[in-house]
Amino acid sequence: MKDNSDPLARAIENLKDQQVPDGPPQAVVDSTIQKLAEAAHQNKSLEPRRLSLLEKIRNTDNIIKLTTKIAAVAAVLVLAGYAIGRFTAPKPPDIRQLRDDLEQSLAARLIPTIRQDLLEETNRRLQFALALTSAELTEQYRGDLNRFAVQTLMASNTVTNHLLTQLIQSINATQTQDLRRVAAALNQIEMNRLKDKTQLATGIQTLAYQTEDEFVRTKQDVVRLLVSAKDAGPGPDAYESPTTPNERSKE
Amino acid sequence: MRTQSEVPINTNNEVPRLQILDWQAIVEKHGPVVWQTAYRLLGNHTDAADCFQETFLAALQVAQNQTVRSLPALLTRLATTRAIDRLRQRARQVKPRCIGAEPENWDGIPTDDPEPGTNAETHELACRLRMELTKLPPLEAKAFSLRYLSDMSYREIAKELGITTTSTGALLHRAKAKLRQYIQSVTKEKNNEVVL
Repeated sequence: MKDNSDPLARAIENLKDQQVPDGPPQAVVDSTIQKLAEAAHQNKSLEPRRLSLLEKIRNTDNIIKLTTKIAAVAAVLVLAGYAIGRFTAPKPPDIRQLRDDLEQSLAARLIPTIRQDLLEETNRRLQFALALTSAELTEQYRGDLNRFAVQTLMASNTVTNHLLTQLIQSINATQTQDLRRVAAALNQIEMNRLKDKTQLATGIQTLAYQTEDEFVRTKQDVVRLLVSAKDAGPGPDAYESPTTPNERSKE
Repeated sequence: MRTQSEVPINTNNEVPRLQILDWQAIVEKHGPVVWQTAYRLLGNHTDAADCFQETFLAALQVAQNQTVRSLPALLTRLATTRAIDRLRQRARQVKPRCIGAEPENWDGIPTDDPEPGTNAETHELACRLRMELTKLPPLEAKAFSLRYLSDMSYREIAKELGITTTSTGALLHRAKAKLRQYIQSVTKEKNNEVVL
C-alpha cells in the first residue's frame, strides 16, 4: 500500500493523514455520559429482580400453606352445598303438569326460532338465485358485447380494406398520370433539343460560308497589294513604315 | 450495594456480562479513539458527534448482553459500523458528490502551500475514498476501514466480525480490488473531461 502510483494507496494515505481532532468536545462527552447513565438506569429497572435461595424456600412454604387453606375451604364448601341440597331437595314433580309446561315452553321458544330460520333460509335462497341470475346476465351481457365487438371489427376491417383499395387505386392512377406527363415532357425536351441542334448547325454553316467569302476576299486583297507593291519597286522608304497600322490598312 | 463509581475499572481485559461499568471513565479513556475513527470516516463534526454517542450506547447494550473480550476493539468496530451506516445514509439522501468535501475549519487549510493543486487532489482522493466505501458490501467496508484506517490486525478484525482470518483476507482483497477499480474509473472519467 506504499506505492505512490496506486490511487487507492494514495487515497488511504490521504484519508489517514487528514487533520482529525484529537478528541471529542467536552459537550459531546458530557451528553454521551448522561445518555449512557439514562440507558443503564432504564436497563437496570427493566431487569427482573433475582430471588435468593431463602426467599425461594419461603415462597415454597407460603405456597404449601396457601394450597392447604384453599383445600380446606373447598371441602367446607362442598359439605355445605351437599347439606343445602339435601335439605332443600324438591318434591316429586307432577308429570302432566310438567309436560304441559314443557310443551308451552317449547312452543313459546321454538316457533319464533323456526320462523327466524325459515326467513333466513328464504333470504339465503333468494340471494343465491339473485346471484345466479346476476351471473347469467353478466355472462349474457359479455357474450353480446363480444359478438358486437366481433361484428364491429369485421365491418371496420371491410371498410378499411375497401378504403385501402381505393387509396391504392388512386395512387396507381396518379402515378400513371405522372409518368405520362413526365414522358410527354421528356419527348418535348428531346424535340426541342433536336430543333436547337438543327438551328445551331444551320447557323454555324451560314457563319462558315460568310467567313469563307470574307476570307477569299481578304486573300485577293493581299495578293493585289503584293502585286502593286512589286510593280512600284522598292523606294527609299519602302522598308520603313511611316504610317500607322490604320493607314496601312487603308492603303 | 455498590454504586457505579465503586466498581473497579478494568477496561482492557474482559468485561463480564451484566457488570455495571464506570462508563464515564470508559468514555474519557476510549473517547478519542472512537472520535477519531468516526471523524475520519465522516469528515464533519455533527455526524461524528452522533456516531460517537451511538457507539457508546451500542457498546453498553453489548456489554450487558455478552462478554466483551476487548473494549477498544469493540468500540472501534462499533464506531466504524455506525460511521459507515451514516455514510450510506448520507449517500442515499444527497446527490452523489464528494462526501465531507467541505471542511468545517477553513483556517486549518494551508494557504501558502506551493502546490495548491496537490492539496486539492489529496483532499478529493480522501473524499472519493469515503464515497466509494459506501458502495462496498457492509462487511467488506467494515473490514477495509478496520484494517487500513484503524490499523487493526487480521486476527482482531476476524474476532470482531466473527469470521475467520482467511475470510478476512479474502474480504480485504475484494474490497481493495473494488475500491481501486472505482477510483481508477473516476480518475479516468475526470481525465477524459479535462481532455474534452
